[in-house]
Amino acid sequence: MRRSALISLALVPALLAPIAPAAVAAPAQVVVADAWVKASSFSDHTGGMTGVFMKITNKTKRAITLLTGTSSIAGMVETHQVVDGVMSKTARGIKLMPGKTVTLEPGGLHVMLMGLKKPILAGTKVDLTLKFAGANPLVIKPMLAKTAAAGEETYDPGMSH
Amino acid sequence: MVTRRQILLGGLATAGAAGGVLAANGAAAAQAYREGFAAAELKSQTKVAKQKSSFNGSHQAGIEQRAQAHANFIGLEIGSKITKDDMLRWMVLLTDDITRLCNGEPVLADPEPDLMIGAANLTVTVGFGPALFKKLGLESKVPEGFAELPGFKIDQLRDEFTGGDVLIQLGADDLLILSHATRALLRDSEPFGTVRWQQAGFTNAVGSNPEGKTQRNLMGQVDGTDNPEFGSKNFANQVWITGGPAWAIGGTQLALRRIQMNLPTWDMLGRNDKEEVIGRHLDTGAPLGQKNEFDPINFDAKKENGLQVIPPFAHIRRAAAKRPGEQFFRRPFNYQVVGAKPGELDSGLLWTAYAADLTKQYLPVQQRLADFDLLNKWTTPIGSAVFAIARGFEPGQVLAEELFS
Ligand code: HEM
Ligand SMILES: [Cu+2]
Repeated sequence: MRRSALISLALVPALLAPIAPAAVAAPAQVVVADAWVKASSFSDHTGGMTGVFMKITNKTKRAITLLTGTSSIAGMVETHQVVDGVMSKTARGIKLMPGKTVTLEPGGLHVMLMGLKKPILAGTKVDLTLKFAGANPLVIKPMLAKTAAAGEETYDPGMSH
Repeated sequence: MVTRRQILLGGLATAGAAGGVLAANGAAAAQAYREGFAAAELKSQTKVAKQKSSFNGSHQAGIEQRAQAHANFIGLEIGSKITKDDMLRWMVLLTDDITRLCNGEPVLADPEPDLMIGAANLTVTVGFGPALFKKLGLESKVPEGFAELPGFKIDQLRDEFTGGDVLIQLGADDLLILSHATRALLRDSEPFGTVRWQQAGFTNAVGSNPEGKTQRNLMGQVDGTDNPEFGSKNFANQVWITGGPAWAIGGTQLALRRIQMNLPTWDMLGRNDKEEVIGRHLDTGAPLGQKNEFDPINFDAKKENGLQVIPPFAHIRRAAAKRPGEQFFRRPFNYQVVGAKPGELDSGLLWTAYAADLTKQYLPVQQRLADFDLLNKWTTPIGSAVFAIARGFEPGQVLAEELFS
């Protein structure tokens, strides 16, 4: 059959491989999918900041808390929330209930990269390791930075956490 | 309505779901049958959306395959400050988007992810115009035979359909899915360039024509008969670039011509005249004097009165290769938009030639047709652009990476 022919549905999982959730050391305690970073005028310069978004699933039978993280591109990593359009640091990380998925998205919960050491532009790849209470650190596959209009929140450069 | 095929599918699904026909009792068997039937029916109802075209490999998708029901050709112009490094970041984004979209998945950060109900054979093909190579100082990476086209005396080109630095060509069998994918790619292209033009084309819907049947254009002609066969050596020789800069090996070159048809005056012709203009029969698409679409053309055949069966002015006589190598692959889409005046329709072809070397393979044919082809009486090129199409990418590779690094 010619190579451009329709692929069978059976091949689909294989094709999805490059964008599948990041691999973690077995047994997976936390699984992250569809992670991305927002590229904006707040992130396009050294010293800037931006949000990281993802679907994050607790695969264990006990509660886990996402506390912080490290990234070679950021001086500081925090967990944030947006309440009534105002962003602030969460008091006690981000709680992940057993077996449940939490969606970090614009206008809601997110991981904040602050004190950027390099600009983050559309298409920039960003590394991130998440740190938890109740689970091992998780190295996420390099994430893509994208411009996105959704959940436009004000990143007040002078905000205090 | 329930067709026999659906009943069959239902039965098969039941056998699968129940792990054989050994359901514990009659009621359970009936229930399993109903569920299997419903699942099979749903599958059959959504089968257009569920189709996927393969998009990894040595060639980009969207060329060596049936023209989908709908297509969008988009020409973009890069921003004045864009560098090679910016281009590479753009390609990283496009690669990720294409991978997800062609799998029927929403892109990352899709604001309307629920619209992506499948791939519907979506393909995305990316290429680069001559101006881009100049702007970025990439002249050494221009594939052989790739250059801006000369003007032809038949041309009445409009700026809004002409030129462009970057081509994004999309095809899909569902217009809503195509539109959503188009928007996703344009959204992620915004930091890098602006849309110079967007041209929409169409063919028949899936399920309207038998698989593999040659499409008709808006003049009613069977269009695309004398094309290299998919998967053949002939196709590979005509279309895929085999030497020169690495980023283009496995790629090709595209001439996209927006050719307007004057359908009101074409409609006035008699059927015989219409057939002589092309040199083929309207019903079967067979060469004049032959029975079947794929019968060989006999350019030497004479009528009793001594005139040529295929007239000197016929499109296929003028277009046929006069020297070896004057051949390429055509994959046209129809276009139709509301015209400038009320009640007026602007109809025509998004005519495409894919060739490994446009200068050698396409240019002499186009020049010959511009010089003389009776079809020109009813057709006018109003847009024109050429693009060098990058080679395909494997999982983990970035589209056109070798061009911009
Ligand atoms: C609106 C414009 C055009 C229309 C309606 C049209 C229509 C057709 C039709 C009906 C055929 C016969 C069936 C087939 O083999 O596909 C044909 C053949 C062909 N056309 Fe066109 N065409 C157009 C423009 C062009 C242009 C601009 C070129 C090239 C520069 C071209 C090159 C060819 C070639 C190479 C063939 C095959 C000839 C052969 O049998 O060797 N056509 N076209
Ligand atoms: Cu924040």
